Amino acid sequence: MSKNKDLYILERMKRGSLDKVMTFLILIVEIIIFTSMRSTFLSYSNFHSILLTSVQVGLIAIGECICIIGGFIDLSVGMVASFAGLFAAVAIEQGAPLVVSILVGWLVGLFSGFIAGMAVSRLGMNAFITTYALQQIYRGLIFIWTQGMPRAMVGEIYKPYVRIGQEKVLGGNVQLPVIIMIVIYIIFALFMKYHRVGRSIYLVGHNHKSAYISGINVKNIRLFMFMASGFLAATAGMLVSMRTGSQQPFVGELYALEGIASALVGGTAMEGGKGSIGMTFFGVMIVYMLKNGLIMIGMPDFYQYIAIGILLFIAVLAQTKKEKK
Amino acid sequence: MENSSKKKRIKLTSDVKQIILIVAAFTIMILVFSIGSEYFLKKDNIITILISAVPLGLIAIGECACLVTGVFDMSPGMVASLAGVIWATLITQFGMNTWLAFAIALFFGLFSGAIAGVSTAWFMMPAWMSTYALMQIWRGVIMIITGGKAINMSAYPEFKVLGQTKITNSITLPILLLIIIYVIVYFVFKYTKFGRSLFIVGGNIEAAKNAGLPVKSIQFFCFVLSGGMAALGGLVFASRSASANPIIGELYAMQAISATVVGGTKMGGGKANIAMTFIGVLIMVGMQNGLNMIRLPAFYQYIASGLILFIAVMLQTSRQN
Repeated sequence: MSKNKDLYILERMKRGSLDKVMTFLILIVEIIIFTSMRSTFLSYSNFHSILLTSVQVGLIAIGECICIIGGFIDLSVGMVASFAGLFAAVAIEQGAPLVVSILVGWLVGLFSGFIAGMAVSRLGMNAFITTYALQQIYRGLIFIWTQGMPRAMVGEIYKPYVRIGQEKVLGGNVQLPVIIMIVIYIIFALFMKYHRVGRSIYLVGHNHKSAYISGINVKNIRLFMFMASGFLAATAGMLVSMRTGSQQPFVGELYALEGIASALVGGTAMEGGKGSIGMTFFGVMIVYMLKNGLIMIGMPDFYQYIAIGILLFIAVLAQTKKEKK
Repeated sequence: MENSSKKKRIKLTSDVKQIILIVAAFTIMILVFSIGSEYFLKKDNIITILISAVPLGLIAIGECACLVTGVFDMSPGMVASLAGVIWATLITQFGMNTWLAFAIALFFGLFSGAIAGVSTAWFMMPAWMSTYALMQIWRGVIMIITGGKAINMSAYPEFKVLGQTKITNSITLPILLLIIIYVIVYFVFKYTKFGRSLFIVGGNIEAAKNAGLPVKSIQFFCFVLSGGMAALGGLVFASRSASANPIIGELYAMQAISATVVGGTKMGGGKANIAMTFIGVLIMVGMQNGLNMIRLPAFYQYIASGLILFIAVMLQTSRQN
């Protein structure tokens, strides 16, 4: 019995490390291929620009990772990001102080996460369809509000807001959003690993019935997952408009797809209960190095669709084949 | 004995209730729009609604088959677009015979469905994920072939036969095709072995396996059907508009899922009514048309379709609970 148990633990450890090996392998192969084609690929400035462009999807991937670990998926994040950014921009425009406008953006994210979370946890609605429907509703609302026009953030009034996204720190080497992303990653990685709520998410995703029996409030944990996802999406949406100095109405169109792809490539298991925030970061790096590299070697941008599609296909295939054994 | 008959009666009433609900929603929609616009119920407009319902209607059949077995197919929109693009490109670039090119494009749809089917049935990949990835891949292929521009086919009369032939004064071939296919599929779902086994697989996959049904092949054929229907829908649309539009399928998958869910298909699988799916399609398309008729800008359609989907899922879930 105990021998079996040891074997089982060993097997699980092997599997876990195999996931990591696979993720790093893809990353290294990517770096080697692109560096051999363009020597500037590995330069500091390019690496920094990969990090900088990956900030918004990096944050959204944390939310997706949490949702997938908990056994669900959140498709609404892209439009939530756009919506929150829009609210924050309008608040600034109306002369609200910086802190208040950021709070407004976060509130929008938390509120939309609350709606999705209540629908899924209390009403038991299918998360996939529900968040898609919400995304359509937000898209329509954004359209009505902006008429599809972007909002340029120039002028004195936007200065403190835009400064957060464009300020260079650490001797002018790193732009602030990169630092913000890394700090948020560390916070969430520690949270998922050591906090009671974070660990409950793994349990709920692995087996929600036994989680319920062991006294975890499954409904609230599920609600929390979606609210965290909404909060991170709002942060991402605000950061992207801070960095680019403009509020594009549909900036988040592909965020959900790329966030989910990153989480899965980083080894988060589709069926829930398994995954880590740290590895998700490397998943994001894989996706964004791919995008950056394809552009550097001069491929038109629609090759990115095919590349990400194939990447997603392989990541899911690799997972499911393993599960079957 | 008495107990089982009682159960049967309760189930029947809940089914009937659902049908009443869907038909009521349909009627209310017609009422609202015909009050809002005097042209909504004119014969010409009804024909317009039916014509624009053709691609979505065909795709909804495949989606319904997939949903009955408990899986989503996200790819039909891009399959539809790519099928039209393949058809047009083979004719314009390679000078191929129109109907040979048509067959190849249709075959592409079946092929795409086969990929999705194999990855779901035999490789056990989550269907929505693999079909989503497939959709991205086809999107890229479309962009590579067309560069994002629509291919104008108005110079090829044979290309337009499928979509523009008139049967009577107002009814065109696609409408007839749609109705015939729906009637066939209705009977296939209701009376053939394949159709009935779909419901068993969706209702309880373990029981279906134990009953000796070829569960994997059935799932596989659902996706092949979905791919074929999507390609056919895309081809009919291309022919009707005499052009192959690269992005026309962007929203088809979700509209088709909405139409099937609004039409009462149970999301976990096992329950569906193809006639109600048709009503669901009419609700989705009629709503788009009606919002245009009462002069609301196009983006209200997003909100309306999102709300309809949300409410439909909510009602369905609350019934199950």
